[in-house]
Amino acid sequence: MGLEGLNQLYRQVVLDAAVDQRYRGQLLNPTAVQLAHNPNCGDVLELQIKVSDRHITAIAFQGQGCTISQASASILADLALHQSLESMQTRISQFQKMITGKESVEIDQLGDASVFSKISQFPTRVKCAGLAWDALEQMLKNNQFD
Amino acid sequence: MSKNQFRDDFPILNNVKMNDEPLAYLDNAATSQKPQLVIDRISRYYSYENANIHRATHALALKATDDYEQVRDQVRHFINAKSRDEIIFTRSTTESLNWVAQRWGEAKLKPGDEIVLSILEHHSNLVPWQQVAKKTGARLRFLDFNQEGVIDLNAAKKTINAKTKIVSITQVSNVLGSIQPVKELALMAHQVNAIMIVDAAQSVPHFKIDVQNLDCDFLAFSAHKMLGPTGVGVLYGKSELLEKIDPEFFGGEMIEEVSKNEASFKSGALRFEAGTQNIAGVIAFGAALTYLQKVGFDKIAAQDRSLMESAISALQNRSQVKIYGSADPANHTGIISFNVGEIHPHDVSTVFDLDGVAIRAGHHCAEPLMNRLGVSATCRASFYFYNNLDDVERFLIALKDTEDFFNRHPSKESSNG
Repeated sequence: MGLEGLNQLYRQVVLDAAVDQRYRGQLLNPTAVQLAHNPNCGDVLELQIKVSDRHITAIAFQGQGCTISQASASILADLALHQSLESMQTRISQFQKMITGKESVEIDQLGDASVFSKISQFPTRVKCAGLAWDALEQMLKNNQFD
Repeated sequence: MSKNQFRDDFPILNNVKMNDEPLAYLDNAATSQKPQLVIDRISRYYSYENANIHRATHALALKATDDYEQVRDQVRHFINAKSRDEIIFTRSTTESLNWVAQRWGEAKLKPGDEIVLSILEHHSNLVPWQQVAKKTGARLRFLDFNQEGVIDLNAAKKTINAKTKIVSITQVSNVLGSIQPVKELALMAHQVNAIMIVDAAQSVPHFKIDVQNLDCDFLAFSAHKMLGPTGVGVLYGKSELLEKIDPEFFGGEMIEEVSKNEASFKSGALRFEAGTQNIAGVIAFGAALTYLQKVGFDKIAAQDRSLMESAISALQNRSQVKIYGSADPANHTGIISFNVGEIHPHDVSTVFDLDGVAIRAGHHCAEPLMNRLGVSATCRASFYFYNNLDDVERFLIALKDTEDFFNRHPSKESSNG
């Protein structure tokens, strides 16, 4: 593959998203909080959401991590804001299928997140890309949001 | 550049590409590569010599038993143990350390007793002791290290006291490469009637170990970090201590005599090796030890030194690079942990990966040490004697590629907070 692979992995939109500050930090009175941990590198990410009428009305994350995990969290936050929990469920499942590359999948609803469509070529980084998404998936599983 | 005479013995070093680039393998602290003769030894055993050991009376089994037991003698001489009964084959360093923790620690410790470790320990010399402490009510105490990455003996004098029953310390840090004063710590431990355990996973591959000189009570290491196959470990234990430990697994291989209601066990190490062992692995480990002795620790040390001097002096000129541990190349044992500015270690190691340079990024199974260093992770390049200055060069090119790529794509200033 060589170094040209770097440009595939670190597209400009990824590099920009990694330093995007809009969703960094904590929410006041979040409806749900979820920690996600990447045991390979020790990175920890905390995701918080506010839910009203089964829609995500606010979202934030904090934690240290690599370019890929931070960018993916930013992109997820931007995508999830104002979306219904049900539609996020679909997107999470699309995203997870896309990054593992196990089956071809519709990515029409993933927006900027489709930038990670080639990440299965970098198996050691799939976990980084999926970290925030796994956290949101856990949140949706663990909470009723009624 | 002088040719490294050993490289041709390792098929992976000459024939394998990683991401279309020739492989520069710098992850030796995780596992070493294997010379062809070790690979062939496994194949030869299964092709022409396969039989179960210690029981059958046929010639094939006798040869397999002899070959297996000869490796026990080889290991004994390799670390200068007093007796072959002091050498137990396990699956790994981790299993060896867990074994001591459970078989000695759990049996002997009482509430209020203290186990002394260092903040440098690999999780496999930490987590087993946490479990023992929970079960017995014993307390863990930790030795800190100085700027050189070496345990401070003055502080150790205060920490190791009458309550101390076990001192268990790595001889070489798997993150910093720094060499620890285990002989001095063994003396301190014995002065208070504690036992001394040495995690030698990173030291045995690099320098001559003499367990009688160290006067440690137990010492653990793995075959796979010193040219041998995976799945073979060694636990050295002083005879007088092993005699006080009952076997934990019962069945084939380890018994002397069995009646319907009673059984007696073999003596020495054999009573701890229940069931059919990793015979091929142990025999191939013997081939690895023979090869290593032919190379010689003088050559290994000289190569370590030359690679470390070259790599560290080049890194010291890179303003973005921070090296953890000693500034002295002699105190690195082939291991360099580093970070590149604010670039996350996983991002760094991806660039190295695409350049064909295999390094490790993460916490290296030493999270307390990462906390002590104030980082969540580091990059780690670890060398062995078959690495050469070309590998150092490749390492530096990958580093430059990393800096170039991420400096070309700098982090934007945050627009809002």
